[in-house]
Amino acid sequence: FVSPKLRKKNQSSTVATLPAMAAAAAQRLLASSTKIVGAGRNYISHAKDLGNPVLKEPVLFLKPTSSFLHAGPTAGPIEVPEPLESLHHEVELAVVISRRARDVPEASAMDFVGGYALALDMSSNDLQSASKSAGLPWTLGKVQDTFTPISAVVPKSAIANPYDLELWLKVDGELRQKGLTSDMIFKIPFLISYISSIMTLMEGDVILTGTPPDGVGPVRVGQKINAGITDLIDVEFDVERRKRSFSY
Amino acid sequence: MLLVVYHLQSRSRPIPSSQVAALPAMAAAAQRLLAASTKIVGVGRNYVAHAKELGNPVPKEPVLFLKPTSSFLHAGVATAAVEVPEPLESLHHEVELAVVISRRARDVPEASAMDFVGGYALALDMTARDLQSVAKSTGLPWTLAKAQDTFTPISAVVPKSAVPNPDDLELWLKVDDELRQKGPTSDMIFKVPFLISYISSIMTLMEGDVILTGTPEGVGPVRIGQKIKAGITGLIEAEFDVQRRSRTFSP
Repeated sequence: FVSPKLRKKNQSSTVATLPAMAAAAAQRLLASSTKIVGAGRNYISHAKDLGNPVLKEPVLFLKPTSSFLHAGPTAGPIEVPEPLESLHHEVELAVVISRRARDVPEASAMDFVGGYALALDMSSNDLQSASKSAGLPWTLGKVQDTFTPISAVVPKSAIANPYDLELWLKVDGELRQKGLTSDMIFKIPFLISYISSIMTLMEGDVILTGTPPDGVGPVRVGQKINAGITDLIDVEFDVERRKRSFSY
Repeated sequence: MLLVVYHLQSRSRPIPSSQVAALPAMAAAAQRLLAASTKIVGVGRNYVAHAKELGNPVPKEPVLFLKPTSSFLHAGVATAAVEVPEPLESLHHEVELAVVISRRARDVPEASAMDFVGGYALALDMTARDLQSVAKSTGLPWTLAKAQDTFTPISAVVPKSAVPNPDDLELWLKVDDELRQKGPTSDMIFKVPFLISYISSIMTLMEGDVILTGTPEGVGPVRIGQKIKAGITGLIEAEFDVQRRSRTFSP
């Protein structure tokens, strides 16, 4: 077990000092992922009035595994497709499922957690607004390649209390988002129970548990994102223009 | 073993399921494709008459939505069952031509798109229509309406070589032996090569990924206790029961 006070610039070297078996097993989980389930509007806002009604149930959306962008020394950039000039960043705690979960009661839900990660739910606000007003799916605004940057997976044993974490995100060194997971509205056991009552969760499936809404904003081509869970994980991603390339 | 009525266009009679194991190697390869699937991409409103029957405008670009692979319901020897979750009493059936991708596809030009097709299948995009209407009017995702377990019944995969022209097929669907949907794939607004090109410009398609290419008019409810039969005329057919979903937690 590694002291939570340990800090490293490169998150992958932090993970490597955790007990080897647990860390390697957690990483393999992500490789078998079959889907990403996002929970929208899942944080209390401390701003005056964002105008969104209080939800009775989580808002669920899907992102494909093709949208993953894995952090690391050889990671590519977040790609902004033409004609967009920016994307919105949303820093989130990701939960990685350890085994098949269907109709899981809340009381047993944490048995199905294999690990956690720091993820960004990159979104195109323009595309998403257009979709919402037309009553269309959120797809184009959320599912594109590189729209789910994600850190290495931290084994469940490394996080005693997932509601005692601080999420943060900077753009070009300027702090944009900072929030506490204690502000999560629908907590992890409820999310696992609710989602697994709608669709079977498989080993490696990822739940994006929402973002602190204050500070969500645009990041432009040419900028750099740093983000993390304080004292646990750090990630860094460049934001670049997507170049289209057809390769056999 | 798969319960499948499988008719190569060069044959005059369908192949009985007992001979499926003797089919050429390429048929087995087509089946293995589906096992590798990472996502299902649905194309909404891709037949003019269907767009109109739901009061929707005809789109300028394909309307895309995602269904997870956990929603697959594979046709089989024992009749597979679509599960209707409480408190719903019915689901809408939508019979579709499914395209199965053969290999990784990204930014594929239309002219090369058919090189990325591994096979075809008959699929149903089961939809909780009321939930979808609520989602549309409130600007929410279509997840509850489309993504639940068993909401993507699918037949065995027919290798591409058995389908010279995917624009020349007839889709049909019956509920309790009453014909509900029948339409030619030639009525598709956005054709298969365009769909592969368009989708692969938004997200990389992987081997085994499935594109549901839309449904002709005639969508409607199927209730618990009814039986769906559907197929591609002269090629493949499949059968599914519709049952109440019973919740079972097995740790």
